[in-house]
Amino acid sequence: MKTTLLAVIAVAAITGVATAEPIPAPADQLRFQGIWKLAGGDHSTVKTTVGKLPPMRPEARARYDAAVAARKAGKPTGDTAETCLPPGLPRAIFYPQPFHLIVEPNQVTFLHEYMHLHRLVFIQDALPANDDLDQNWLGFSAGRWDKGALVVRSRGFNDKTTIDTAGIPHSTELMLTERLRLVDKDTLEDVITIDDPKTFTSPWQTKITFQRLPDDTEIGEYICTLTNPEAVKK
Amino acid sequence: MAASRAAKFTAALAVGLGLLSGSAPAATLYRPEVSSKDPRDLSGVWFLRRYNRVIPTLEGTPPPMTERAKLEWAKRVVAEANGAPIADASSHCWPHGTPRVMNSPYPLQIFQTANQVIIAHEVAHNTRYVHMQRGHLTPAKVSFMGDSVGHWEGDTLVIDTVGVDDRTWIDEQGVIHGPKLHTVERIRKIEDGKAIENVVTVEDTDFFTKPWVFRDTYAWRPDLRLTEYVCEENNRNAPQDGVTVAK
Repeated sequence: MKTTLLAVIAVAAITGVATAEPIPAPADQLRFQGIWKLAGGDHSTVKTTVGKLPPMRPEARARYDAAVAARKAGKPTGDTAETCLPPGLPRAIFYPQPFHLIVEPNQVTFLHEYMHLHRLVFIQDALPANDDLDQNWLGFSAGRWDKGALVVRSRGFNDKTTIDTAGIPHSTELMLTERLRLVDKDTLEDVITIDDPKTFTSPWQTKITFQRLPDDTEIGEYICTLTNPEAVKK
Repeated sequence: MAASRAAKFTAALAVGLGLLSGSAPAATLYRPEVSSKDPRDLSGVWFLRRYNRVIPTLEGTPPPMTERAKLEWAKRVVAEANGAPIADASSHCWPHGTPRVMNSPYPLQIFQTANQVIIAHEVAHNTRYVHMQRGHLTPAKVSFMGDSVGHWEGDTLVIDTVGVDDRTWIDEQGVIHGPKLHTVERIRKIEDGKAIENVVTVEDTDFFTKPWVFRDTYAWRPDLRLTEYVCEENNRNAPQDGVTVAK
């Protein structure tokens, strides 16, 4: 009985949206809309909120150390982002290029200057099980509003990207939970919980802050393959 | 080019709903069945109705090409027939350019902010920014998508574009352009919001003997979401020495 009721509510929730005139997002959500840019700091090496390296399992740590050593020695690191492939999450938001954040009732969209990436966060969706998702470069993101914050859960990632430029690896079991909140009207904070039991001994958190840019800021045309012509020949 | 995981999930959801309600599975709608009643609200997902790699004029004729344009066109047609097509911008995973990107058989999503109309295309995750609060920059800033400025004339969004990098083409067959390309797109809702039309005027005195016009329509698609399209992954058409290589 309970299941049926839930099902009816679920059907109503989904089909209800389909017939009505679109309703604008509430004002407190629309405050997130705008053009944002990383607020200082180099995020090529990501640390936990207490300034430490994340708790990598030995095998992951060995891969990380190898990537760091290779980069230092100027040798290939196997970093797919260097060949113009989408850098995955959370790395896509660690770049210094600005992004548009667009808030609609059913979708929050990140339009990045970096590689002109589109990241779609679906507000109505429950997060599907990892097995029900294809493995994509930017995963699948489901969001919900919670006490004025936007909570985004993402999974369905391939394992070809790294958490940061330095080379923290992850598996296809990667699951991100981001809590985005406005510290003030021009400061956006994203606290990211990174969970991947195959790679880390426990979930860990990192924090990133964005500064609002003027509304007339124009997003540039960032074409990775123009400056890396070899990238398309791989 | 990854398959749509969202589609997989959508299908599963649709089947699930069908079972629960005891009826045939219906497509999941992410947005209202019809676009907003506001004629100036174009936000949502739209899909080109008639895809044609060759773009005919409104009269159904080929574009009025200059002698130079005809030679360039013939060169491309012959190269393709000989199995060694000449590469355009999209073969390199560079943005498709304007108006070419508007003629892609993939969905696009329109966003509207205070200052801009933004068109996000699934194909190669191209993004077009139409600046609503300024005129063209002088000197013109060249980019693959060009410098697009827009304004409303009644309920028609008028987009004026210049500064399109001449490595992009107009169509997929061999109609090309130079630095003088100027397009004016007139976009408006038709069919009670179930579609939009785009009437495009193309002008480039080096490549066309006179301005010419084509028209495309796009269906409102509340059942679609943009999915991940990664040109840079396994690009089978990566050019070598300017020739597109089919692997």
